[in-house]
Amino acid sequence: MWERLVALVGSLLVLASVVYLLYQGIWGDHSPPDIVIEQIDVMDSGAAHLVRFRARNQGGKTAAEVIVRGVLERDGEQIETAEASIDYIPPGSEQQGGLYFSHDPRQAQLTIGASGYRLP
Amino acid sequence: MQDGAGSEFWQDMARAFGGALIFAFPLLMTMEMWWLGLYLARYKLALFVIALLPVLVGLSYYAGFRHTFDFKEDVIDALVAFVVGVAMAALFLTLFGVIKTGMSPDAIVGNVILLAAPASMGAILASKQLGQLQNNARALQQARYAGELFIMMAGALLLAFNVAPTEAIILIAYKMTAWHALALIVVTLTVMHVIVYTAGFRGQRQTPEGTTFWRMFRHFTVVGYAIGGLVSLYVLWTFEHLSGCGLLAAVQTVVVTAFPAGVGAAVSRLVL
Repeated sequence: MWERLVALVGSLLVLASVVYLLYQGIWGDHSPPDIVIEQIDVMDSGAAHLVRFRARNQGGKTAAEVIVRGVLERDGEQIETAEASIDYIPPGSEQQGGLYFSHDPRQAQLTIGASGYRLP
Repeated sequence: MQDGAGSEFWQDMARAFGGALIFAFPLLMTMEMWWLGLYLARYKLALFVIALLPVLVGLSYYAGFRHTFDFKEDVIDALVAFVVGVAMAALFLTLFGVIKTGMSPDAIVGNVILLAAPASMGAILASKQLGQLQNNARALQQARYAGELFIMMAGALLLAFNVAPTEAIILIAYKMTAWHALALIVVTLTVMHVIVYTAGFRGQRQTPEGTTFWRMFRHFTVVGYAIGGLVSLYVLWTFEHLSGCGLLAAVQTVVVTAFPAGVGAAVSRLVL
């Protein structure tokens, strides 16, 4: 009796995966990666200042080697840049990272964005 | 360990050590394993060891490195296998210069414990794999459906464990589209069913009267694949490959890992 139950549960699991992948294959998002960077917080880290960020891929394809670049500006003048790279961000996924600045980002204008990626 | 002379004990140990080495070889030389030993969340590592021990006991029951007759001996053999696994992992990680002085005890323990898992499974399976025919053939022949499920789970775990730590697994999943993943499911099920169907009629196990192609497919192939998928999910979660991961990427990573895991599940019924 429970042998049939196990077979049923197993079939349902496999079927659900197949249906989900079919759905993704036909109606899924196939747009290029769309990386959105969100700043989490700023904290002092030794002599430097650490800005932690969250990188989210809202596109439909996986982005590899994503370069995240932070630019510090004061009075319209660029004073410092920092970069971090993230191995992989699949669609609908997020990864975290951090940028180190020697100037305090709290006393300047900080913009963080993805500056490039490649497909895996 | 009271039966037989002292030399028999050491023969058993040597055999277990050899089995541990053979099964742990690929992982012993996989650098991701060393890193995982360092950064893996300790509760996941602890959970893994706790989950491993009943698997070792079960494997000892079905194919231990010694003839065992009762539960107590299976437990003892499982623990001995774990000790052999730990010893082997510690020895070779030291020999490779992965473990060295100056490392924190935490890092050393993490490294050794992680590798001890496949090694101890190898140690338990040693007799069978190294050609000794003294395994519990009777227990196996009497294995009912629950036993079959356990054997498939153990086979899936062994194979999933061998590939899941590597970054290649995630990279493959990310290179694939949903269509690739679908095709891989079909291929995995086909390969598995060929194995299951062949195994079913080799007389290793009695196939019940009226066993049909589709019944075998539902009860062993599909269930084996589902077990492979669940084992993959657990192992991938343990190795932090699913953190922050979207659903599609997670499903594809599981499908990729379920390929070796599913084939491992199917083959284990033949091999064990």
